[in-house]
Amino acid sequence: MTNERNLIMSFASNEDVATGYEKFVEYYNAFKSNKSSVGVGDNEISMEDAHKKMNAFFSSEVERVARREMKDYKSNLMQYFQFTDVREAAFAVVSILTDLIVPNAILKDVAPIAEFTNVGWGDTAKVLVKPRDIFVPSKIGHGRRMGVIHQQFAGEVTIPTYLREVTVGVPFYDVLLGRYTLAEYMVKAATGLEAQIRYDVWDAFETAVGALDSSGTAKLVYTGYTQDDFVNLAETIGAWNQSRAVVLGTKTACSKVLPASTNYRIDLDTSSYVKNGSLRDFMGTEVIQMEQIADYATEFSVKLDNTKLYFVSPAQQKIIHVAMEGNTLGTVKDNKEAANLIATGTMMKSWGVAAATAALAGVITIS
Amino acid sequence: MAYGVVQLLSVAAKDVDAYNKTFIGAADIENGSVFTLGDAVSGQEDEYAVVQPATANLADQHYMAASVNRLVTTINGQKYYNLAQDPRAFINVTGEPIDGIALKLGDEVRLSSDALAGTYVSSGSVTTHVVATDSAYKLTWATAAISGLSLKHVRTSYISIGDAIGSQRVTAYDFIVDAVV
Repeated sequence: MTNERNLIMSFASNEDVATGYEKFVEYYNAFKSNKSSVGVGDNEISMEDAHKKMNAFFSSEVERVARREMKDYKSNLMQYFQFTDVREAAFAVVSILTDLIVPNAILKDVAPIAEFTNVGWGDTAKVLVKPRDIFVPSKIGHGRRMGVIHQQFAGEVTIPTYLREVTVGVPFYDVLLGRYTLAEYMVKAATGLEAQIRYDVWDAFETAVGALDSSGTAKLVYTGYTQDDFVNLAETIGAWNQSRAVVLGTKTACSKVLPASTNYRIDLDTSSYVKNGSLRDFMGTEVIQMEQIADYATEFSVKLDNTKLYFVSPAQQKIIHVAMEGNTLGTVKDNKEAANLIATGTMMKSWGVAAATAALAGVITIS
Repeated sequence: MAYGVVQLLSVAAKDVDAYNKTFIGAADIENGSVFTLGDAVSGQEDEYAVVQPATANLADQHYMAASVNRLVTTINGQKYYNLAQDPRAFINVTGEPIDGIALKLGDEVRLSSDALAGTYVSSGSVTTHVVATDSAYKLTWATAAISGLSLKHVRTSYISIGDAIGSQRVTAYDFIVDAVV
């Protein structure tokens, strides 16, 4: 993620506040990674302490944004939380945190193929794509001052963003019964936005790579795994990207990467293969297992294709660019504002995804 | 849709100031198109009107549009510099200055296929030249030179344009001016 600091500063010019948000992201990442502590060295604190600190930070941020302090209402906290400005402030802070956390969370999974950029409201992200060709010299006579003039041109890909929203609702009676809370639903709404961005990234990636040539000398799309095709494609991608290629695939896909001769498998580090589910390095090319993700569009289906092995150079320009426009917007309507007493919460987020790169990629479909 | 792209590989205009003129078109003109010298623009010492190729002027001195123009015009007439990098997005719009070079015998130019009218034929009735054509700004593929501006096809080439994940090579053709009066 780029511009993380700028994003924070646009919401808060106060250094302590900005640091607080950064700590929150650190806490969230540690929490998602099932760590028992946050920070390193002298700054390391237990997850329990971090949890308390983050709750305190959240409360203080709500107080700061709402300009209304909780201690003034300590005899009746219910009244404090009923204030419209407090509720608005709470969701504003949640929106800021969502802006920080969502791209970070996604980036952990899609870093080899995608890059995130924040743009302001109304801006269109533009990715400059420079030619990968070099200038080729030719023979020339001794009596000439210069040869023909070579030139090349850059192009660009623009990424328009589209606003998405999720509205969730909880009937007043369910709130009274303690069955559901709007907060619980809103967390799922944020998770849904995160999942959709992830889907968009993989869809764009699969479409872009799948559309490459599947025949001829420019062949980058292969059907059927063979050891020779694997090595050849890894070499081609690495050579043209001038950066080592790695292979990405699901555990199922990666497990199919094996030497052509079954005799060679005697020499495999068998226990490691069984333990990891695949060879981590094959013929000098790193094989990376991608975590499978649920595809909520269809029950029990998964998003990542178990038959695809993707060849990319992570150190080169990323294949997919995600433009996040503005900030996450949230609106909340109380039960009593609706004729049918349904409390609603809406999250809105604007983003765009496009394949924009000078780097090459390839794919082998395991038949 | 893509507009023509031109690369001046080796041209006399590189070394002779007088071979470089500024033109004002009465129509949108793609790079790589040709025209002849018209009247001087009133009030401007260095601007000349563009004259479209016609049967009567095919043997006149022709100039080629070779602007590094970065001006993009939207459909409602608003003009923006540096809006897009890709040269295929540019056309020399009506009323704006165009860089034109005088084509001389031996000049070598590289033109994208979009810059040319007609289709290259590599076998059978081979198109060996592109030539100036009546009522057309674009050079047109032909099976022989004409009595007028003719450029001989010497090789099929490419122009590198950063674009998408796949091929970045746009088909182009290299020519040498071998007939110009």
